[in-house]
Formats: sequence, C-alpha cells, structure tokens
Amino acid sequence: MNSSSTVQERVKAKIPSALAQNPRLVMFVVLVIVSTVLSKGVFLSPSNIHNMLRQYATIGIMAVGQTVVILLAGVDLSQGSMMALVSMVVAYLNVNGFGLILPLLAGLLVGALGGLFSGTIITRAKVPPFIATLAMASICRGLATLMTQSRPIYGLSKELLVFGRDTIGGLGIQVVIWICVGLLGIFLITRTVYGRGVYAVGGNEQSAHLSGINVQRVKLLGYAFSGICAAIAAIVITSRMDMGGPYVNANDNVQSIASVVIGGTSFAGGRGTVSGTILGTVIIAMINNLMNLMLINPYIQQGIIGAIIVITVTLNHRRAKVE
Amino acid sequence: MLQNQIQIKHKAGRSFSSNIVLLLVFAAVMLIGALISPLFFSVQNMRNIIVGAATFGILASGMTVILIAGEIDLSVGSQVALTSVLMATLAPISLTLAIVASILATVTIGILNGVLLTKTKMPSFVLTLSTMGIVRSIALVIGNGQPVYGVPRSYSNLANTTVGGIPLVAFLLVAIYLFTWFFLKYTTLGRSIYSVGSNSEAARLTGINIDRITVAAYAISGLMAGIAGLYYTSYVTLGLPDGAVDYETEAITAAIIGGASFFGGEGVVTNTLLGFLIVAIVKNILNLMGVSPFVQPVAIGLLIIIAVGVRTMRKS
Repeated sequence: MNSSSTVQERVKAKIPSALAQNPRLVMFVVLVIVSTVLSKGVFLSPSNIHNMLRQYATIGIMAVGQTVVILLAGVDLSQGSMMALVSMVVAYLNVNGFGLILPLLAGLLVGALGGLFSGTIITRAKVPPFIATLAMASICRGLATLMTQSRPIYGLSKELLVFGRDTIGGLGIQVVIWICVGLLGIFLITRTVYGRGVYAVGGNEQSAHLSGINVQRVKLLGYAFSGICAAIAAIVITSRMDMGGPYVNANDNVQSIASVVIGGTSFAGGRGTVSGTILGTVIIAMINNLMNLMLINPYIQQGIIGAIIVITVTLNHRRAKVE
Repeated sequence: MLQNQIQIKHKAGRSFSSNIVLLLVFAAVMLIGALISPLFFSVQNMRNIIVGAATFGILASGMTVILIAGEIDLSVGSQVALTSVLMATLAPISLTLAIVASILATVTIGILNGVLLTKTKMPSFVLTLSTMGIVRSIALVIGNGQPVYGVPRSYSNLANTTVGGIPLVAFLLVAIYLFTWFFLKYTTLGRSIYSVGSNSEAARLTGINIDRITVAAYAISGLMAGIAGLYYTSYVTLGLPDGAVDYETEAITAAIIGGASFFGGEGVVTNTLLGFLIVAIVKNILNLMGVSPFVQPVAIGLLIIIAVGVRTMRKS
C-alpha cells in the first residue's frame, strides 16, 4: 500500500521519469482513462470490470506459473496445450462417473507431471526450455485430441460448473481462484527459500550452484508449478465452457507470456515479480476490452498482443541499457 | 588458431559419425516401413509421402539456415498461411502478381524479423512468437477468417503433376536443397552464417557485420516460407488463413533430427533433407498401421526430445 502511494506521487511529480521507471502503471492509468472516455463511462461499470476479470482469470492463472519459469530464464510454451489435455482429462473422468474430486485431482496431477517431465528434459538432457516445452506442447495437444478423436466432451455434472460460473460474495469464483493463485505465487516468490532460489538460479545459475542451491530441483519445481497453474486454468475454462475441449484457446499461451513480459519480468531471468504479472494480465484484459468496445476486428487482436510483446520487450531492453 | 583447427577437425569427425547414424536411422525406418506394409514401397505411397510432406521439407531448409545462425523462426507457419491467402486473393487478378506479392511479403516479414531482432536483442523465440501472431492476424483479416476460394484449377493441379512418374514437387525440393547447400557451403554470406552462429563475438572481431548476416538468414527463412506457401496453396487448393498451424514445429523437428543445433553454428542441409524424410516416413508408417492421426503430434514431440536429448548428452 505504502509503496504504491509513493509511486503515485512520483507519477504526479515527474511523469517522464515515472514512465521510464514504471511503464506498467502508466500504461494502466492511460488505459483506464482512454477506455472510460471512449466507452462513455461503461468501462468503469462494476459489471464490465467484473466480466473482464472473469474472462481473463484463466490467462491470469497461467501467467503466475509462467512468471516463475521465465524468472528461471526459461519459458513454458506448453501451457496452452497442457490446458487442452487437462480439460479433456477432467471432462472425461467427470462424464464417466468419477464424481468431482477425483477428476480435479487427476487434472492437477497431469499438469504437475507434465511440468516435471518438461523440467526433467530441460535439466537432465539439457534441451533448451523453449524446445523442450514446444515438444511437450505437441505431445499434449496430440494426447488431448487422441482421447476422443478431437471431439469435445459434453455433459459435465452440475457441481463441476461451479468454478467458471458461480460467485462468492458477488465475485466470480474464477476471479477468487486467480487472486488465490496470485497471492500464492507472490508468497512463494518473495517469502520462501524456494523463491530466493528461483531468483538466484535465474540471475546466475553457476553462482547459485556454487552457493549450494540445488539448481535442478529449483527448475523442476518451477516447471511443475507452471504445469499446475495451467491445470487450474484448465479446470476454470472447462467449467466455464461446460465442456472438455481438445482445442481450448491455443492463443492463451502467447497471452500468458505477454502478461509476464508486460509485467516487467526479463527473459534473461532473475528479474521480475508476480505482482507485475498480475497487473500485466489486467492490462491485456483492458486492451482487449477496449478493442471490443471500439468494435475492432477480433482477428486483429492476437496480432496486437504480438505487437505489444515486441514493443514492451524493446522498451524494457532500452530501460535496462539506460540503467 | 591451432585450437580452432582442432575444433574444426573434431566437429568434422563428429558430423561424419552422425551422418552414418542418420543414414542408419533412415535405413531402419525404410526397413520398418517395408516390414509393416507391402504398400510402403509402392510408387503411389512414395509419391504420397513426398506430395504430402513437401511443405515441411521446404520450410525445414530455411529453418536449418536460421538454426545455423543460432536463432529460431516460429513465424513460418503463419507465413505459409498468409501466402495461401494472398495467392487465393490475388490469383484471379494475375497469377504472376500473386506469386510476386506473396514472395515479397514473406521476404519482407523475414527482413523485419531480422531487423527487429538485431535492434531489440530480444530472444528470437519471443520475437518470432509475436510475429507469428501478427502475421496470422494479417492472414485472418485479409481472408476475413474464412477459407478463400479463387486459386485457379491450373495452379492447384501443379501439386499433383508428375513428370516421368515423379511428382513435380520432388524436383522443387531437390532444387531448394541444392540451392541452400550451395549457398551455405560456397558463398561468403553462407559461411558467415556459420561463423556468426558458432561464435558471434569472434565473427564480429573478424569484421563480419553480424546484424546484416542475421537479417539475411531471416530473409532466406522468409523466402523459403513463401515458396512453401506457394506449394501449400496448390496442395490445399485454396487460401487458408487458419491453416499451416504448428508447421514450424515440424520444420524444426526435421532440422534437429538432421543434426542442426540450437546453439548455432552447426547443421548441414543435406542432413536436414534426411531428417525431413525420416519424419515423413515415420508419419506414413503410422498411417499405414492405421494409427490415429492424432498420435502424430505425440510422435513428433517425442522425436524432438529424443533427437536433441541424445545429441546434447553425447556432447557432454
């Protein structure tokens, strides 16, 4: 709270330097103003904001896991396909009479095991992370489509629909899940020994190893966490769409990476925050919301996300060079 | 200097042994194919393999150049889709115009990839993941998200044309691989790509303009994506804005199985050709065995992991 108020004072005092120091917050403020003006106030209505958050909860949840992996100087390109696989597993078990708890646990287990598998390939076989996870993406997508010959699974039980549709105290459950995962991520990264290990390994793997950190274990757990986040996101999206989908948004993976990048985490590893990522996802949600308000062709939207990644990374790079 | 020579000799020795491994793997999959089905060695099946997989083969030669430069290009699948949309949109006006516009578009995208990469110094997979989305968007906007009809019959027939029983595209593949092989081995630019990929700092000190080499490598990748797109359009007979998804993964697989390294400086296109054929044959065998087509991405993923894993473990 305290730090955010000082940042705001800085924005007021010196906008140009604030732009250089915290472009995310400036982007956020500008987007709020532009969206409010263009939508004649509709943007600020609680229902619009709530809808926006509900829609982007899945990407927000994925992005928390993605942050940890990118902090480790890696990346997870398999999150989107992992979502599809978990969505299919959960729906399949649910439809075939295994109730609620078992499918959910199985889904989380698939996510964790998938992450551990990627992590093992990366740490043991020394395969570059983006290749290992690209291969993993191919495998997950194949398995997801294989389960039902690429047909969606319909007819989920009522209690599974809770995660994407119900509310607690007026707040959508998927938003609550996003907040919980976000808080867990922040706690994990800033308050635990593991979190310090992540920064150390991402900053300099060699020195982390020399200072006695089990580099391989830190990486393995990071990819497992990313897989679990993808699995949680999959449960939410399965519940929201009321089906298991072998092709659930493959584009979500790019948006999860974009959230992390906009959140200020460096691809070189060791620098960045989960809270930045959460703000990054909100910014992406606002940009897409704004494009919808302005009736921009939806086909342009994924291109815009790509352009935003390029611009943000460029600006981050410039900033790092100036510093 | 001496150390360098030793290293080069060492590399040559390794590439010789990996050549033999590659040929053995190739022979093994051919043998398995023959054992699995009597149809495997039929002329029709061989034709199907080439005609069906040629797009990946063309992309893989460009991907090899990029991998040798120590980079990656994930945007080639989207470029193929864009080419098919441009072809289907412009071909009714003029086929020549459509072809020229398509190649110009993809080469420009390649150059932009290269320029952005050298200016921003961001990891190439992040940049090309972004351009992948941007190019896909352009294709979707031009085609309005729908398949575009309008490819002339005479053009779409080209994919199925044979000369003396051999599909036309086989000649195209041979020409492309000869071109890339010659380019990498005998031109200054081609050899500079190797030196930039294996040690960019050393390359810079010898006076090579690294940025220009990187841009050139991406331009070649764009050119190959354009040619692949021209063939793809003829093969699918229409413009598909949402087509050719994940084609980059297949191109990368072929190049890696052929021995290209992710750390740059290594790779031979003739081996990529073998890698491409191995992947195409493995997929064909799965088809002949009646295995669900959805197993193919799983097989591709495992092939990547095995190929890279075995190689990096052998090195260390």
